[in-house]
Amino acid sequence: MTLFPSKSDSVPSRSQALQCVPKRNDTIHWEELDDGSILFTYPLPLSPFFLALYKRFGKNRGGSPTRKLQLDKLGSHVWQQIDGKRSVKEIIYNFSKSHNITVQEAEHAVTAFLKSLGQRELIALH
Amino acid sequence: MDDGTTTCRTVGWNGISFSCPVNWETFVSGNRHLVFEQDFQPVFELRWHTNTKDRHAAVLRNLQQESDLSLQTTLPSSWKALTASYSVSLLTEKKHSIIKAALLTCRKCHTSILVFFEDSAGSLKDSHNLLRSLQCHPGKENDCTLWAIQDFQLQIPADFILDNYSFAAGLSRLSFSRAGTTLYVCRLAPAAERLQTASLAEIMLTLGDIPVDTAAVIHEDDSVCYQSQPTISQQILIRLKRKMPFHWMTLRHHRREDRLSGLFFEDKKPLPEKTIHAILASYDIIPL
Repeated sequence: MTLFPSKSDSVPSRSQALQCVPKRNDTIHWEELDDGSILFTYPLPLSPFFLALYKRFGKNRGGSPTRKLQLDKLGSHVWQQIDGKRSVKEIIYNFSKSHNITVQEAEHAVTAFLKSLGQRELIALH
Repeated sequence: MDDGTTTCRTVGWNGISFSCPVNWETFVSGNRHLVFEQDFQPVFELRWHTNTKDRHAAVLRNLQQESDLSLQTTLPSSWKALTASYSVSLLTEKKHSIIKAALLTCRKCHTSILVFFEDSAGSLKDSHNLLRSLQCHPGKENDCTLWAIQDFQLQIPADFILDNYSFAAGLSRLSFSRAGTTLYVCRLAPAAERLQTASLAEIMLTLGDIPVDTAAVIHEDDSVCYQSQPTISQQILIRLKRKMPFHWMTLRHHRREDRLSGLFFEDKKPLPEKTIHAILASYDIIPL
């Protein structure tokens, strides 16, 4: 048994990643605006030192700092597809059909978008 | 995804063309390397190289040395139809004698084509049909190369060399050069969403990357066009800035297919109008 598994072992292959099911982070607050776009309000990850500084000197001293993110029409459509049941592959097929683009293009767009949502901890892949 | 019927579409890339099942996604992996996928699983790979003389034996020897595949001495009957146009050699796995690769060398133009089967059982029948339709040299009457990938196709004179390509989400770009002339081919999708935020002329000038007012653009039915006609002094000034003085660009809106297709030419000298119009006439969007 290796104490520290190499990074390459934990990276899934393309076919494994496409089989994954994205799941929304339930702790994130989001709302659908009148034009159909999605607006997120999510906590800003800060180190304890900067969090203490914010609580002492920030405008909203009681709460934790938050950031807002508004998705465009395409991003909002992908977000609506994330229901904890559909796999990445299914989302790509649906996106390709609904926007009349090739599967290859849909794969580029959807995977890059899911990656950016994952980096902000708005979704997790199962 | 596969309903059992094999509807085919034409694919053309850098000197070769063939018809392949519509449910196979074609990925460009290199200037002379295509990968075919079905349901996100690779099924088939195609690599090729143009030669001036027959190098079949030499390429085969290198392949055998660099892989653990062995040469199959007898050719199955399904492959014999190809021997009229190509020298054919099959390479199999040593343990299970499953066909993993095939080397085809054109008897006419000596192009070496290496076929690699990812999933031998499932793809072999469709692969045979693909290889039977393979064309690796232009016909007698036409010295143009067919470029047909994704949902667009066009014919470009064979002396235009592919410099670069990119297939991003919603924007595919190919760039070619020939004796100082640079040609950019682009195709955007979906058109309706692009045109919500900018006009056809604005998109064309952004893609063309030249600082021209939209008033200088000629508007026609579902297309826009711009042609620069610099004076001698303007040409000198532009050349001093190390830029190309002659530009010709057009962007067309294909309403039914919801696509935008663009052609952009630039050169130091006046552009060949006849060639431009021949390429433009052949540029079309093929619904998938």
